[in-house]
Amino acid sequence: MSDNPADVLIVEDSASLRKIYTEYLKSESIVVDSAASLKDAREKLAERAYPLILLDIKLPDGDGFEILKELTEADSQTLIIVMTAHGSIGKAVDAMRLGAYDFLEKPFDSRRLKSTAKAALAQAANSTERAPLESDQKIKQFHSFVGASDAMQDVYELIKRAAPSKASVFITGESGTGKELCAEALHRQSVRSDGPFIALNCAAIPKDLMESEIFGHLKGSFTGATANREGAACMANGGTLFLDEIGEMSFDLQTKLLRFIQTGIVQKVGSNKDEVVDVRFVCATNREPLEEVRAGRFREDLYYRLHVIPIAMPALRDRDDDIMLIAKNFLKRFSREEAKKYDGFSPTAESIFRQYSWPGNVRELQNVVRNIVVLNQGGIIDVKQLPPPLDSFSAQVAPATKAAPKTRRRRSKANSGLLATTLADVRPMAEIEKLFIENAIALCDGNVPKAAALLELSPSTIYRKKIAWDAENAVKAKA
Amino acid sequence: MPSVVESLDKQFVRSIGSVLDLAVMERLLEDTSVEFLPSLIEVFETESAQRVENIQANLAESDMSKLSVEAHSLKGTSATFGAESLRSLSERIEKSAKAGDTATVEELVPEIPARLSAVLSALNEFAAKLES
Repeated sequence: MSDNPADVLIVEDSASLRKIYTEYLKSESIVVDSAASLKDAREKLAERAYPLILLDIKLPDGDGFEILKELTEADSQTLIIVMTAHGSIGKAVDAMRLGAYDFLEKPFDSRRLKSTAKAALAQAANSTERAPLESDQKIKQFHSFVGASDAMQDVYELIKRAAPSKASVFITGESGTGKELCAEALHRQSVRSDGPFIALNCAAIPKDLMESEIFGHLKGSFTGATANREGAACMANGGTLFLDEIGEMSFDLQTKLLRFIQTGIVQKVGSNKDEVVDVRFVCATNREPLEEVRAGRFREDLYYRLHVIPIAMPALRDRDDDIMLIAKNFLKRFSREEAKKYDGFSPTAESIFRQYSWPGNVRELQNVVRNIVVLNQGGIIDVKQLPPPLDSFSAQVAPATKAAPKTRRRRSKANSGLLATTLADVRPMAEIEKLFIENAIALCDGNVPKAAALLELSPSTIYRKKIAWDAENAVKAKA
Repeated sequence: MPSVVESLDKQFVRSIGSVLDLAVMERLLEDTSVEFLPSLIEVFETESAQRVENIQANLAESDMSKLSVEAHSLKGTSATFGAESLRSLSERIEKSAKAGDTATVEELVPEIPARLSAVLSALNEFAAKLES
C-alpha cells in the first residue's frame, strides 16, 4: 500500500519514456506508478484500481490490448489511454473500439499528454455508475429523438456506449435523419455535458472563411478581420465540436484539421501562438465517406482519425411505425404552438404516410405536419389536407390504399351477410382472416404476391399462414 | 526567453545536429528541465545498451518476433530524442524482422552500436554544454 495513491499507471517498456512521461505529469501534480511489462501491470492492478492507465501496446511479454480487454470485460471504471507508434492509427482505432478512452500517437509532447490525462482524470472523478444498457423495454424517446423502432434502439445503444469515451464519432445518414440531434445526444449523454456544444455546418460557410470559423483569427489578419475572433475549436474547449457536412471541407483545411486533432493545438489565423484545447470531435456527412476517400476528395488519414465510432442514422422509411409516432408528436407540438385542435390522422392519411418514401426523412415529415397544421383549421386530418407530393402520391397508390378501402367497404355492404347480426353468428377472427385471405388469393388466380399487395400484407406472412392452414387441414383429414 | 539552442555556438549545433534533431531536444527541455536531462540520458544509456544486447541475442536465436518488438521500442525511444538516423535504422530492422527477412536484419543489426554511441555522445556533449 502506498501512502499517496497514484492517479495514473503508466505501462511502458522503455525506461526513458516512463521517466519522461512521469516528469511531464509531475508538473501537473499527477502522481504516477509505472509498470514495464504486462506481468508487472497485472501485479499492480491486482493490488489496487487506478483511475487512469497510460498503456503502451507493444510490450515485451505480450500485447497491451490484453489489459484493455481484461479491464473492459471486468466492467472496470478505469479509463485507458493507449499509446501507439507513429503511423499505426489502425491500432488506435481498434483500441477505441475495445473501449479505450483516448489514444496518443508517439512521440507526443508534454502538452498533449497533460491535456489528455487531465481530461481523463476529470472524467474519472465525475464518472458515476454507468447506466445499465440492457433493457427489454423499448425506448420511445431519447434526448431529442422520438422513435421506438429497432433501428433507433440500435442508435440509442450506440450513443450510450460511445458517449463516455472521447473517441471521435462519425455520423452518416441521408439528410433529415437527425445527424445533429445525434451529435447533441452524444454530448448531453457524456460527462462533457456541462461544457459547450458547438456545431459548425461546413456546407453553410464560404470556403475562404471556414478556417477562421474553426480556428478563429486575429484582428487584421485578412481583409474584413476587424476584430479578434474566437474560433469554434476554442469555443468548444471542454465540450464537443460538431462538424456537420464535413465532406464539404476543402482539402487544404482538412490538413489543418488533422493537425489540430493530432495535437490538440489551435493557432488562430494570423497568429503564431499555440493554444491547447480539449475537444471531442463529432462529425457528419450525407455522402458515403469511404467513397469520398477513394475519389481523393477526403484525406484518408483524417478519415481514420474521425471514423473511430461510426453511427449510421436510419432513413425514416426504414423505421417502421416511427413515422406515425413522430407525425403524432409533431401534430401535438405544432397544434399547441398554433393554438389549434387536431384529433389525429384518418386511416387513409396514415396509410399514405406509412407508404410514402420520405426522401427528406424526419425533416420532410416535420414540414408536412407543420404545413397541415398551419393551413387547416383542425379536426381529423384526411387525404385532402395533405400537401403535395403526398396528395398526388395517394392517387398513385390508389389501388392499394385509397380505392381499396372504398371498394372493400362497398363490398362489405353488399355482402353484409358477413357481418354477424346475432351473437351466435360471431366467428373467430382467425377463421375470418383465413376466409378473406383465401378469397383474395382465389380472386387473384392463385397469385399470392398480388393478393398480398391488395391485402396490404407481406407475401411471406401469407405463405406462413398457408403452411399452418395446410398442416391443420392434414390433421383434420386424418381425423 | 532566448532558446537554449540559439545560445549554443553554431559549429557545435552543426556537429551534433546531424545526429540529434535539436528542435526535438529543445521541446523536451522546455517540457522538463535542464536539470532533468543528465538523469534521463543515464536511463536511456542503460536501457539502450540492454536493448542492443537483447537484439543481438534475438538475432543469434533467430527469434525475429522478439527482435521486432525490441527494435520497435528502440525506434520509439530514439524518436523521443530526435535521433533520426537511429530511429530510421530501428524502423528498418523492425520491418525486416516482421517480414522474416533475416538476411537484412543480419546486415543492419551490426550498424546499431555505432549509431547509438553517436547519439549518446551527442546527448552527453549537449548536456555538458548546457551545464557550462
